[in-house]
Amino acid sequence: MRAMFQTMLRRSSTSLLASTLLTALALLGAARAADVPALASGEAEKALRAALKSFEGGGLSFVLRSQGVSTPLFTLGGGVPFNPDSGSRTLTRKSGVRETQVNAAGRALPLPDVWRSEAARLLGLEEPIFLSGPRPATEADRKALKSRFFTGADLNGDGKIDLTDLGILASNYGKVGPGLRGDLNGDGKVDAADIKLFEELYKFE
Amino acid sequence: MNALESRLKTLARAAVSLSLLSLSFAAQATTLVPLTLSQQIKKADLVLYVRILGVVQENRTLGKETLPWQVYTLEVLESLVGDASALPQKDGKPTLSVLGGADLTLEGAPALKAPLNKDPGGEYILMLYKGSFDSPFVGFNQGVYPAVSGKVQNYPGNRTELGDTDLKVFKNKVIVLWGSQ
Repeated sequence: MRAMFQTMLRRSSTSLLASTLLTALALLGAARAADVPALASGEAEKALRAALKSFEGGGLSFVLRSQGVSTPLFTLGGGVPFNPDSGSRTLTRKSGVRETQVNAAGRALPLPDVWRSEAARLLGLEEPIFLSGPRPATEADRKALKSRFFTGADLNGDGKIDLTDLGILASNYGKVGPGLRGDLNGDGKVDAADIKLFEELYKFE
Repeated sequence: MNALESRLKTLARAAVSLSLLSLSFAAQATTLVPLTLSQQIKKADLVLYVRILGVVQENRTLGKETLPWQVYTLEVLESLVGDASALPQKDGKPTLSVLGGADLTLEGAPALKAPLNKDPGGEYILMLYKGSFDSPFVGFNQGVYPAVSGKVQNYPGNRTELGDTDLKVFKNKVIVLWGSQ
């Protein structure tokens, strides 16, 4: 831990430059295509892509990417009849693979809204399980995503990169999955590469 | 630097706690329509006051896939709406099936308390659909009300407005609301 902070100290001028550069890129509307770990095909893929697209903006776009056997799977419908009041369900297999099935025959909730809700979860936005009405992608969503993907080390979104953010990263260290806070390089896992990125973005005060 | 490290460790511990909380919330990755108590009662085919007598896992094949189900056997203490004989029976007792088991988790699905050693099974007021679904409860998990010490409460994670939680008052309310439709 001490070595890491010594490194941070050495890099403080570099990190200031990197931080400034990232902020400048964000302000200039620099483009970034972020990988979203998910597998879908046919109608489900089309619907998920459309839902993700609705969250794009300000130079940020999303690309569906398979990341090995643990990649979350999205399907339309499923073998077992859905509860009439659910728009989607998620099954987790013993292997750890999660499969989200959207209720194709559901009348309780409009399908595009259910897909947007699922996309929001996939992108790491806080999304309640209850959907009482339309779920459009809002400016607040886009702002949160932009903040997250362009200045990724500000994990609690308080406008500064500090030890609280490092604490959040540390709490997810070693975890694998979509939308993990601390997955700064967006590769679906929180590991040493993210610590390294954090070191570069952290401004030692 | 030691003070800094100490602060960092404290922060990291706090973050881990927060992370665990958020994980338990994120585990319910199901999208549901929120239903009021009145809406739940009106949608229900059956409303039963039950005690759980036991639970077993059964594997059932549907199409190409074999999936596990939790099959609960019920002791019906009172039928508030409908007739419990409409449910599948096992050894003369009504049963409920919820998708999931050792190899498969249906996220957010209710787990009812079965008897364990000298600990009796849980008592619940259940609002149910007669059809066969992944979860037979109205609102997926909303129509599940544990009855503890003469009071009803929401299933963990739910926030349905219950009003008076006294079991007798709640049962009467169910009957009145059902009758008012």
